[in-house]
Amino acid sequence: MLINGNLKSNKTDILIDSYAKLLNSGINADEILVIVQNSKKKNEFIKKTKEKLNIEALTNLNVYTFFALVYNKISENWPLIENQIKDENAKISPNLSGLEVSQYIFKNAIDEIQFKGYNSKVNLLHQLLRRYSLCVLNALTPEEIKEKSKILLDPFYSDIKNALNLYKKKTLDFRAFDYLRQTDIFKFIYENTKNSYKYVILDDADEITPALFQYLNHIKKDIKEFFIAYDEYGCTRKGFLGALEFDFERFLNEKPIILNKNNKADEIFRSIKIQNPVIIENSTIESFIRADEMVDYTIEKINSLLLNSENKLSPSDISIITPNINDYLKIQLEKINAPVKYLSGSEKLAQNPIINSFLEILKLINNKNLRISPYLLRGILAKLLNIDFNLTLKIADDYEINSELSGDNIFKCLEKYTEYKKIEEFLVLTENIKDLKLSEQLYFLSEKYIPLTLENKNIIFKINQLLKQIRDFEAIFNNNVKKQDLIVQLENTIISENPLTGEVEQENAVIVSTAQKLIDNSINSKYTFLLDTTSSNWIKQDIGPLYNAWVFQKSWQKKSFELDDNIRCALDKTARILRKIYLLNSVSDKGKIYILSSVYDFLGVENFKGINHFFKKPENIIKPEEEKEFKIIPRPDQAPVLEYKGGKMAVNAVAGAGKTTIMLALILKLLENKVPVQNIFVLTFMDSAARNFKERIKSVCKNLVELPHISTIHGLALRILKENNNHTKLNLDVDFEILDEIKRSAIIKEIISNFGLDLSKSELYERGISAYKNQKNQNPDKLSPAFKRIYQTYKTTLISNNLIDYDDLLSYSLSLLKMNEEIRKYYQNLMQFIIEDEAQDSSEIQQELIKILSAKHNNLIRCGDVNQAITTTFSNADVEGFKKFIEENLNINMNYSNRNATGIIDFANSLIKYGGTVSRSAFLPVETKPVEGKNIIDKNSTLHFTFEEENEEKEFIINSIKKIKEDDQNSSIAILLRSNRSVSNWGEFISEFSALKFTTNSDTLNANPVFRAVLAVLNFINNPLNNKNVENCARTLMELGYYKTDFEIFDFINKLNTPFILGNNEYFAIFWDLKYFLSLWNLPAYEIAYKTGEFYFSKNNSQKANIPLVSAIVSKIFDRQKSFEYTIERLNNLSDKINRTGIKLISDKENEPDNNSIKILTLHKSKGDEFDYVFIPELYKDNLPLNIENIKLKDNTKFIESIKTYPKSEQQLKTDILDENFRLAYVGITRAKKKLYLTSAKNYKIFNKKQQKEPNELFTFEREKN
Amino acid sequence: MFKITKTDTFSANSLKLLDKSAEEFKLKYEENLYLLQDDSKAKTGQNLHSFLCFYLKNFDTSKIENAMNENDREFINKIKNLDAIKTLKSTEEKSIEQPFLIKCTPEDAHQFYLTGRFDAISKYNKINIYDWKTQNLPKDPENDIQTIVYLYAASKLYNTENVSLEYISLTKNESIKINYTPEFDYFKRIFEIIQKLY
Repeated sequence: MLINGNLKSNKTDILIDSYAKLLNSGINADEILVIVQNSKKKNEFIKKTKEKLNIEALTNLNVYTFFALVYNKISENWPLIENQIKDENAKISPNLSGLEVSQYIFKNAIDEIQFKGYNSKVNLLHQLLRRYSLCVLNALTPEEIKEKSKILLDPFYSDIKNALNLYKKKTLDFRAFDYLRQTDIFKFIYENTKNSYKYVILDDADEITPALFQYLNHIKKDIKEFFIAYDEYGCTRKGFLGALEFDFERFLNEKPIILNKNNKADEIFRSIKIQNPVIIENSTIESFIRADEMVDYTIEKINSLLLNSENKLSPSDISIITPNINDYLKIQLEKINAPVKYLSGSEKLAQNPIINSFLEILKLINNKNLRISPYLLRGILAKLLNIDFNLTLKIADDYEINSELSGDNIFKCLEKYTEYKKIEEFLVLTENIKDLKLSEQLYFLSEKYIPLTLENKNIIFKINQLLKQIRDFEAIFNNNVKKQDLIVQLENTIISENPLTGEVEQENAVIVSTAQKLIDNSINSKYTFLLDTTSSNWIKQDIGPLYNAWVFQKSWQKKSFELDDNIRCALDKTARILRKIYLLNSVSDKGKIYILSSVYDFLGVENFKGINHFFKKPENIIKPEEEKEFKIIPRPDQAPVLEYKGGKMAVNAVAGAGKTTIMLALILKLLENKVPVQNIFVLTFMDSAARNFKERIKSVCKNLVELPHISTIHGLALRILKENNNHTKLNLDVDFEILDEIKRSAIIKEIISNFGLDLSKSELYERGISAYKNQKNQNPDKLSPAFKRIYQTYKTTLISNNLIDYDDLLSYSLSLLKMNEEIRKYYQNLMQFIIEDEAQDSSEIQQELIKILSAKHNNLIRCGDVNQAITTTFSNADVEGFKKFIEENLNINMNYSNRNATGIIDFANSLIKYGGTVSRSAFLPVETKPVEGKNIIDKNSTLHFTFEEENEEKEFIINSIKKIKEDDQNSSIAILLRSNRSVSNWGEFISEFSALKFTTNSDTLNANPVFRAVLAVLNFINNPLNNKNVENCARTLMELGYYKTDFEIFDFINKLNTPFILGNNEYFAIFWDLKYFLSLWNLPAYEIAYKTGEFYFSKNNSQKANIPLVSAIVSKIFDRQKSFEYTIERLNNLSDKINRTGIKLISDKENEPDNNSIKILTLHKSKGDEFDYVFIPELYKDNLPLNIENIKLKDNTKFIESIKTYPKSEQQLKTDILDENFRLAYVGITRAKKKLYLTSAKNYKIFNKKQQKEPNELFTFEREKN
Repeated sequence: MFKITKTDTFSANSLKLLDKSAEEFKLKYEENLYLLQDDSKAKTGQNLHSFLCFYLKNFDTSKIENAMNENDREFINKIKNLDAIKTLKSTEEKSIEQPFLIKCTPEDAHQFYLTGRFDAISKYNKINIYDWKTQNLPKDPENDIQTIVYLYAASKLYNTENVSLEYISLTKNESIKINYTPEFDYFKRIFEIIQKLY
């Protein structure tokens, strides 16, 4: 019997009927084999079969998943295998163990062989396991593997073969086989035993692997009848999970019975396969900028659906599908007013606070003198031993002090508290179990501290999981693995099966799942929310440097593998998945599918290439009134930009010329002219600018589901590396990580210290490496031996850890494009229009990249302002490149600006003229003109003030601001400074001596309110008994406006001579909140960070998006040592430094501009901004030298230059700095709309030394001129 | 009609626990709430069972035996010489590790199932079930729940009352044989225990 039916058909019921009929007819149950897809389906199959039985007794229901069948066959026929193994250490039964053991064996095997060429130590194991898995599931013969290796031009073939052979041999030595190894051996079993089945019933035959098919084919001759049900467009487990479509019509030589087809579903499949968008009635398509906005929308919809009694909805009628199930999503979804059940996602066992506590205790039992983190100790005492809150604080404090002072171990410390029964019992237990096996130690701890109650069900499952794993290890390695090593192994255990088999069934809950898991479990829903539909994770392409899931399919016929094949295969798989999701949703006519996406993911990284463009909005839903008119009447100098038809064009625009608006208009015009959105690429210099563009386009075109690609050049480079698994061409595995600067510093420091070199130079080497990498032509012979050694070691370290640095991003994508014609053509075809912003900041490599990418369509628009090039000296910007582009191509000069008052424009213009006389390369001689009727006419809008003392300067500015605030209430005010250090100094001064509200837009972590609040709370949790930490929390949170300003609390705390938190201080709101935070202990620091962020900022629209980002920063630091105390210490160290974590916090500027506060920021950061009133203080000569004599080259600058293949002369370097200083001054000046204040003092305290300073040329050049 | 909510399939072991305490039964078999016991001690027993299974199914076990230490080998040889083993080894009419599933349909109550696996059965002349014990033999074998379940199940599976169950100690030279007694209401006894769940 052959049945062709989709997952909504009754195909399984037909199979069950057939099965029951066979059994009821008296056929011996042992002669019937039933194979189903998973254990859930197995249980259902058995349950329904039982109901249909009308005989009293039978031998067995042989209903199996394929892997269970394999397991049974191996157990039953073990001696057959044992007798084949060459050594004499025979075992009565094999160890049919979990993947953890085989990974351990594999790891040891890899250590033994020399694996040449592929150097990523972190990913080698994973890669080999994936490859092995594909070979086994696809039942590949050695010849086939060899053939496939050839197709992939696989340079590692023989190394891989050796590694796998050694692994296989070792599993035989240990008689230890995981499910893959079992499957590998299965063929030998069935070829050497007699088949006893006469009937085979197979459900979900479209999802089976070649390994199973091969078995069925082998026993076919003995089978009287097959009953096979399949879905002709099923096979969603293709590729990754080894499933393959088989021609069952041919296999059985019979025509299928076709069950109720769903034409719409099949249309979805066929359309998506050829990238033809489909319209699903009853669907809503929405896109958002930020991931939290998308999730908020989802929560709001779900809550209102549940609330509306007319819907008669139960939570289980709703499912959320996303490939990105992570902690951030989980915490957000807690706001759904119903239980939520997660069907997928992996979980680290050690992340569970109780498991973590047990592992800590086990470490201590087996190594008494180990130091335990006082934070964890508190958690263990409070949560496991159930000891009074205040007592745990005291014990932890006592331990912390005494372990430092007298080196007492934890047990010794606890002995002082044996008057408390619970502590005494703990000491007795740990003493009693100290000599037992690790598994037994864990068993007795659990038995004592985790009562067998329903509430503990999930944790008991997890403990059992762990126990099983430990016992596997103990059985297989005969206790030859050291307890301490085993604990380390366990700490890294990940359970990917979620929920665990048998874990508490959350009845009636909203389901959150990946697509595949939802399909595997056949979960129907009325309302289906597809989230993150712009994420490329929706489209699975399982390819790594050492394997390729498509080519490793048994049926792969082509002699090559090309980019097109990858795209075609991935589309086919995605089409199958989306068809099934549609089917699962189509329970009722009233169902609905929400297709939601966000431009950025939770960590602020751009999404690209998901599934959202496969769907079109139903026409009747597009409401024209939502389309806001975006009409601009261009000025004559702007008009030519909008007349752009194609080709290369430069737009050189003066400050305030409205460059962003005109670029926006140009993008919209391209869209209007039906240029497909995915063919427009906009490249910005800063992430914030990209974000700004996207937000503006989104606000104008509400119906635009997909936005053009708008990112920094690094964002584009990352896309090129990631898309279609291109990174494998560079031997990078899929989870390659971009090295953040903190980790980068650490690596370089380690290298330097290993070589015994001067550690203080590490920062210099950091810059040196970057400068060297950023050259078009690198010449290693020029390098000093020391630098060369550092550079080489650094490179190897990165490769072996699957890391790339920021500089590699550009050079790697460039070499991909140069090396690989297919990839190059793919992007050249895609990039019909490229618009580059801030082109003056483009580096040589960047310009080369853009040149290649635009080579086919040749439509390249580069906008910028040469006179605002302010990053050339510390980055690799190549302003000359842009100048050349302007000269060689159509150039539109936009030199009208309506921004500044006339006096400011005059001053800026005269600076350009003066600059030209000092250095010809400082400026492009452009004269800015005011727009008639727009600019404020005020000849006296530029003001100069000099003072004796720096404090006078500061006081003057504060008083001036106060005055402005009185006269011109809603105006924006900024203080622009030379350095981040000055920004924090000014911030401190203003908050100490005035009540003015201000924000420092500096790049320090502390400048971010979420970070500040989180750090204050973490510091408190780290040391709750110290009242200083309470005070700091109170102060920080009051400043941020979370508590009423109430100075009483400070007096109160100051007078206390006992810890605030131990007292009865319920009167203060902060007391309750801090107590709450303390109750979170034993969570990893980043989770506390998240909870703190949520606690204070979940309703703050502009800061909310920073919560996951701050948590990610904490997580990055935590990951290094996995210690709470270390994390806090590092965070404190980093807090007042520039954020170099690689995670970009979103500053207020990009969100809602708060006009009422004063901005303090660096001149560099002010670029792109405008303010009514601008103060530029500290303008003494050597703070911004505008005269070549005042410029002193630092040794470091000279060193960096010496690394370069074509170094500049010292004179040239000085000129470069001089030019840039001029431009920096120009940028600062042109920020001001109404008034510009330039100030300086004669005396400054620098490094605690009073120094006399002269005012800068900005005070004098005009007078000199006159 | 009474309904069994979560579990409708019982083994001799689960019935034993249910007989002892419905609460404990529910925790273990309905909620799956238990800590995994150390199985390394039970391993010896399991290994013996496995060995016997392979031996009786006529697998070549010589390599496995050669790898044993002197004591174990001697022990195995002793077992091989047990009458029961010799009988089984020499007959074709046997089943080794035979599972069963019996449907029970009490009046006025929901159906339930008995499941389990006989270590070995010889079918020559009559049905004789063998049960290997590595620990003590049951003290009150006639009323032992395992006896009741096994005899009832075998009588149903082979549709005969000509059934016996033989407990064989593998460690001591002991055995007990119990015959199926038509007068004994096996079903009633089983159902009595099940009723503790209602």
